[in-house]
Amino acid sequence: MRQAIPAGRTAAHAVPRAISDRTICGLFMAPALAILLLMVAYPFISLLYYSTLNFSILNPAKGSEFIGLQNYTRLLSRESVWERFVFTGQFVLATVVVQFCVGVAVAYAFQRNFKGRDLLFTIAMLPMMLCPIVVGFLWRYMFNSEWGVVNYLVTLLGFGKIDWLGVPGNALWAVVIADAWMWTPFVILLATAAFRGIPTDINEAAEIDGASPFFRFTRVTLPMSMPILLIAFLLRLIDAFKQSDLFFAMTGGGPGSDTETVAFRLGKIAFSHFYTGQASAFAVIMLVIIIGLSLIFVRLLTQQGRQD
Amino acid sequence: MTVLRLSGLSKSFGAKQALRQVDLSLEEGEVLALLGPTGAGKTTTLRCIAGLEKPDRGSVHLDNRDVTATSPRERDVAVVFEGFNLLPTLSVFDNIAFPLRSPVYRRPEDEVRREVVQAAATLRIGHLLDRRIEQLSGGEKQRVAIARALVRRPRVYLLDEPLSALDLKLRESLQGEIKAMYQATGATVIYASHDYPSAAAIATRMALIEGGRILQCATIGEIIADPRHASVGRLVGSPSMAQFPAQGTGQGVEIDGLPMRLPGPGEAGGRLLVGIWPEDIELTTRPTDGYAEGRVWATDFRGRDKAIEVRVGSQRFRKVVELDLQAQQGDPIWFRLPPGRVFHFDAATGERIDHGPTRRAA
Repeated sequence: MRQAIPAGRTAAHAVPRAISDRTICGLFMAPALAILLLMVAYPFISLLYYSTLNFSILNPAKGSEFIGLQNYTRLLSRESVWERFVFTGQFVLATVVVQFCVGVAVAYAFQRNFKGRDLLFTIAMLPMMLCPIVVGFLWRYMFNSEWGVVNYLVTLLGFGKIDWLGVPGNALWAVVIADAWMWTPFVILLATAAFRGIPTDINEAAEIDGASPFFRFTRVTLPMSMPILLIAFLLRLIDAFKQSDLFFAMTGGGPGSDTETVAFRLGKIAFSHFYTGQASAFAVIMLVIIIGLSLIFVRLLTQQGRQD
Repeated sequence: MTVLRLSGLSKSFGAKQALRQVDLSLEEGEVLALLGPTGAGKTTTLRCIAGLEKPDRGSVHLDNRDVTATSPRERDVAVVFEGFNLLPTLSVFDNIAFPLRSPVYRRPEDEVRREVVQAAATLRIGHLLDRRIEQLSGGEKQRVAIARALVRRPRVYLLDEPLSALDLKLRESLQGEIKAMYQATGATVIYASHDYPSAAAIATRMALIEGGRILQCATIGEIIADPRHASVGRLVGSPSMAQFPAQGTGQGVEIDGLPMRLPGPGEAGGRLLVGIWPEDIELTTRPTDGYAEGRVWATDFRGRDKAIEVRVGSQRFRKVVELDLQAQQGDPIWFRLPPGRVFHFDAATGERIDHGPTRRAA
């Protein structure tokens, strides 16, 4: 067979050997790598660099002084910063728990066939498609203590008017409600996808074997949709941790700065006070937290994958 | 005692009529094979019995109790599906134990352990109890599925093609295990299959189903002696019944394209099918009076014997013969249909048109 190949062909075949497979591989990857470097690696490295400087972008003429880790130590020794972390933690916990309880329950209800289900499902998805600032203002007006619709309903029930946005504890729950309203659809969507992926055979077999709907939900439906629910949980957790738009629109961070989340404070340091160096350090801290959370979940997911 | 009775069961999915007036009854300890081609309504019948499907008309009685409207949980039947319905999130042990931990059939945990270990031993999967489902082979999964049905000792086992996904060797050994299982427990079983040999190996009685209709329900001997429908002949036997399109002459029957006149019913010009079990066809390798000439179209060696396919014009049949029969592919061969062994079916409806058994059970 070898001899059958014309001489020209063997020669042509030999030419590419001048460029190795690895080189060709590298050439093909180069454009993507370049974009990645430009869009991700460069900003990240410069972020790390700025976080060690005493530098304001408003006053570049003043120059930038290298101060090592002082931005970090200053931030982390400030009690008001820790308060923001605690507040953000409370918000994240509350909103994610509400989103999952409601979202999984609604997704489960959507498993049943009823008239108008698809239409209802589409409507249920709408809040997620709205702009966060718009959602924020919408709920701000609804929670208005004087003429908001929420307090109107509260008075209808015979209670006194509640100062929703003026008291830090109330404001937290008001924003949790708004955030859950906006993002529960996402949980519904993913939970529905997870539930639909479970073969009907398995549920039918469980039913024949005497499993009640609740038993099937806890022993069949939930364990089998766990990988997707974990991903949804991670995404919601990270998103909730970064939440600032709703607070910006609904409370403006007030009263005082009692309802500022970490991201909100970061925005303030970076673009109100223009302490660029300190803001960079703050961003690095947030990044570390988010990466840490992600790693925990990636671990959980791969464990799950190994078990299944 | 009658454990299960179906009366007038009908079910349609949209325009497709899946079941038409299905009547069946099952005695305690009986193993009934539900034999029919793909799409005949086997699975729908089982799903109606299990309660996964609600029949449009008719009723399902379990132990003389009308369960037509009750949920699957309240029926005490177990199903082994064609696909594997095991939970990938649980170990083999937990899968088998699943029914005994459910609200309806809950037992104390030490009893669960005992039952699971025993069922696993019956199916020879005791060594797999700690494995995860996805570590198992197809045959092992099927055993686990059967063990999961077995562990609960239900009133009726419904097996839906439990072996069709497996290779021949595994199928034969599992057939033996299923048989051992119901003999040990005196279980009442419906075994749905499209495969005659495996159904015949397991069942005490057979119900033949086609197009959602039960064609005949009897013991294998009775079916051989008195097949009620042309389709019954096509479903039963290995090889199945030889059938020849033919025409009534008023005095007898003429098989199309063959110089053969047989006594038989049928008015002049009426179209019919002449059927005969291949075992009853007489063959010879020399030209003989009263025999028709055909040609050996194909031979399959099956070890101790061989199956030959004989063709004459558009007519054909398959028959198992001794190895020493001198008939190679392409050779002429002569055959005869002994008159007393022939069945007549209406060509259009497939119904038998001669009446009464023509031959005693072999």
